[in-house]
Amino acid sequence: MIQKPKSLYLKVVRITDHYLGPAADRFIRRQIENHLNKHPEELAQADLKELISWIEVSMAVLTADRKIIREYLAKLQSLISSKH
Amino acid sequence: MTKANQDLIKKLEIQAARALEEKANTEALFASIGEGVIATDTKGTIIRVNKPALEILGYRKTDLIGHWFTEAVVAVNVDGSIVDNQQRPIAKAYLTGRTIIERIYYMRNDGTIIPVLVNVSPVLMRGKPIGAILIFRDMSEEMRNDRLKMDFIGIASHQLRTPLTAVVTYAHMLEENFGGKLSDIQLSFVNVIITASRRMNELVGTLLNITRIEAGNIRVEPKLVQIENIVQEIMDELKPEADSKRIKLDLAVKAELERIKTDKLLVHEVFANIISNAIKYTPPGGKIMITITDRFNDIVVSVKDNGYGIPVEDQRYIFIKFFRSSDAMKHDVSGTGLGLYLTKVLVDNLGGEIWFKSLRNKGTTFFVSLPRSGLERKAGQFTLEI
Repeated sequence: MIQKPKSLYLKVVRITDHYLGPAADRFIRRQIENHLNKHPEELAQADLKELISWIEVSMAVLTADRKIIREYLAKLQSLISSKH
Repeated sequence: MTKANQDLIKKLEIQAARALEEKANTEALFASIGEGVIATDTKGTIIRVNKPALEILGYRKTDLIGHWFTEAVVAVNVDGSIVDNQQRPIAKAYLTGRTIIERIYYMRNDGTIIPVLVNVSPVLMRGKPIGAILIFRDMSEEMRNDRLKMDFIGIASHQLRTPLTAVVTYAHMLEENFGGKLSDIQLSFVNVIITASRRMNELVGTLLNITRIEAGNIRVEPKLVQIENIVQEIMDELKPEADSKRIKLDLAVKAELERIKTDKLLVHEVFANIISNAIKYTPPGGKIMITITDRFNDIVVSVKDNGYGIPVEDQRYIFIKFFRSSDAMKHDVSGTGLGLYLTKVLVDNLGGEIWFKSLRNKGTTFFVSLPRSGLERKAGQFTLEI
């Protein structure tokens, strides 16, 4: 049975995994550690806006497919409003 | 028209003139930079490019402006294969939020490949990323000179090896009294010869490794290895060095680690360099903590010391060949500035990543990630000199 991810960080990784595959964890972890100066497990809902802005620019150099980027960012945005 | 309206129009005209002047100044500044400059927006689209950039890459302005940077400016490996987007300096700059300085290869419009030194930084406005700026210069001439220099060093190092082996062997024979009993003073002289020869041997080994690895001539032979065992082996080897400075070396393994298919020799050299540096740049009585964890697709080894740290202004250069931090020179005058460069090149060859965090006078933590998926065998003429 697939378990639901517990931390917000794992939720972000799980969404990212769909787009970046095996690189997802490294991608997200480094963004959190470097831009938010936090341990990934400490990622809080209030951090998501800043994290998403960095993810947006990073994704823009990885793919030119704006549709995919928008879809991915929308999924991340939904975490802001969701109950964690 | 009322006076108030006239005043408002005048005010707006002045503001527009100022804005135009500022824009012209910025354009002039951008154009006058001697190195290639490209600016991108949040979508990775090129929004500005100067003349040297066009000359270096052989493009016209219209070939680049409005185009997606990653596609318009093609980064390639030395063998001509396309660099993975995630490995491009611009992606690393966004991932780390830092200025990334790297030597890479760009493909010109005519299909030729040129080496460039790229300096790329994210551009922030009120803390929010709004794009990136890349400054780069053609390194062809420097690379040619560098290659000649490294060829010379390679040949010289190789030629030094044979006489050096004789010096070390005979010095050890003298130490063991094979040439008759030595007095205390004679023995101390012999010990100086042995120490200096060992140091020279290490330097020759490093130079040979660099020339061979840069030439793509190092054999990669993956076998199933346990990273923990390699780290433990290195800790045992370096224990006397740590003990002589009363430095505590500890290892914590925070995961059930499976064996991974990688090159033991390369992994050994990577961690031997990092741990030995930690000992070198930690004051007596210090502490070094080595931690091994697993992360989705990687095994991550961190080496944390409470040593002198790396000054912020030097941090971006520490993986560059022959670079020595001003603080490092104070604490170890005999360093060459090759250790971390070699370590970075080896980690790249292992398909991993290396990064660090450092605070002056508080300490440094180096992180190395190695892919759990393992490595492919790579043919080469030489194995690594240890």
